Amino acid sequence: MEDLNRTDTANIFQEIGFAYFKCDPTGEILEVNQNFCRLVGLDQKSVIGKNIFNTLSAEDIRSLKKALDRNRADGKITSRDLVISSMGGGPQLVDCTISPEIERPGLTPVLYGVLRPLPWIGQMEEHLQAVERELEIARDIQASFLPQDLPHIPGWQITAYFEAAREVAGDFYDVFTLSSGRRIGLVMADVVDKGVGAALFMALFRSLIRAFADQHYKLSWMDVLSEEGAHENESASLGHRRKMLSTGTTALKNAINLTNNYIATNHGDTNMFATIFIGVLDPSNGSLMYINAGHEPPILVRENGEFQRLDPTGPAVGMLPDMLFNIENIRIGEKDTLFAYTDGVIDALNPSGETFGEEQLLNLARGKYSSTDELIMNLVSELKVHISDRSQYDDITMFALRREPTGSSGTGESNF
Amino acid sequence: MDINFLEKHPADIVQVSGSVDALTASVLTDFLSLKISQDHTNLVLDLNQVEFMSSAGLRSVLAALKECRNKGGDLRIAGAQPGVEKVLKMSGFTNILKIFPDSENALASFSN
Repeated sequence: MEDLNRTDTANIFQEIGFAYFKCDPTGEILEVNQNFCRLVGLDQKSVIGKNIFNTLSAEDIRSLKKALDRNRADGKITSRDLVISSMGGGPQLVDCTISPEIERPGLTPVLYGVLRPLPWIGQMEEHLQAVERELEIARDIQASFLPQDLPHIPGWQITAYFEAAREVAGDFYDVFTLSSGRRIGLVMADVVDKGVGAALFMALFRSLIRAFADQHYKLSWMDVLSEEGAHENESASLGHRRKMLSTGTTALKNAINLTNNYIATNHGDTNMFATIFIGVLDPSNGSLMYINAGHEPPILVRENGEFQRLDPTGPAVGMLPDMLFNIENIRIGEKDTLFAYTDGVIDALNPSGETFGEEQLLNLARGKYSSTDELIMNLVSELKVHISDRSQYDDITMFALRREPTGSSGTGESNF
Repeated sequence: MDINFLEKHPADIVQVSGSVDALTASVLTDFLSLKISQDHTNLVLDLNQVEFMSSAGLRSVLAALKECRNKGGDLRIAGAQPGVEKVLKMSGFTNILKIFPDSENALASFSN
């Protein structure tokens, strides 16, 4: 019966996931398992009879023996981080746990020990540095997916702000010219979730939208030009203007529909999607056609402080194929400001866990500012005060666009 | 976040409480995926006790919705609080799935 128990115990120790050894009080090794052999780089035969203490540095031996002596009296287990060397292989840092001496009637007392290999601090630091380097590269590359410079739009001011919560982000904004500057594309978007996954999809969404919008604008303007040739005499007619409007809306709609279907069809298994506000501005008259695909409604603040929310006109992009996205049209008047943002702004938490909130944002956005720079800078400083020393939970992205009064000389654009 | 599973007829109820955010959403995704793989393909997701749902939570819901439908079932939402309901509406989830004021109504809808 006892033999059977002993065999069972030995078998358990052979199978166990960490390195196990049994030694006598002098440190002579009596039994080890396969994991121990693997750890020290020797076979079982070569290990048996060696002294466990001889694998340690003089200092480790002293401190370990002292602890073992102290714990023997109390029957306590001794635990130490040690460096095992001089067996086979190189030095290895281990977490070593040794039982007190266990008396056996008629036999020499024994000690049982287990070793758990630990990564070297040096190795860990090296590993962390490598990861950090990779993330830095990712962050730099991701930055190239945000506009380096905002396009210069005569008669308009535009300011953008972006701050990632982590090294890489799922938020993005974009401002680009279409149709040789006759239209301006504006995008504010938030890819679901956070981190590297969101960042990869951010790059994909941004590229698809830009490419599809541009492609369709080029095609649609070619259509319009050929239409002009065919109906020169009617060029100012209502019908023709309708035609131009509908061509533009088709382009906008196609950009979102194609992106939606591409993501839902090719990347459906990942269940990634993005809330996107996309607008196409005619800078000559302030007409803005837009699709709000499930995004936080941008705020259009009129000169007199009244405001309007640009509510969703369709679901988030990429959830399921063939979703319906409607187009709305709004006019941005002189001195009106369009402010778009991601939920990282209103969900920003202060140290007591309270959100920044929509009301506060709305009040700030409706304030009087001399420029879009001032508006964004004021919002950023209020957000920083709110967040204080709490770590930023989500990406924070926003832009403000203002139409200057006719005859005003100053135009500007900047991104922080 | 806590999850409670109630086997009912003609659908099962998944009661979620707490915050479904970037940190907890994967637990919900795995839980729902496991239940669906065990042929619980008609689910009522009871969000009555959910205080906050981030986009990561929406992603869990989308994943489960697709899995249920792929297996011929459906996922319906019940009892969303105003904050969560707003997020569901804004992102267009109300266009792709059915939402009910409470789990009794959601459950009954599976009988129709």
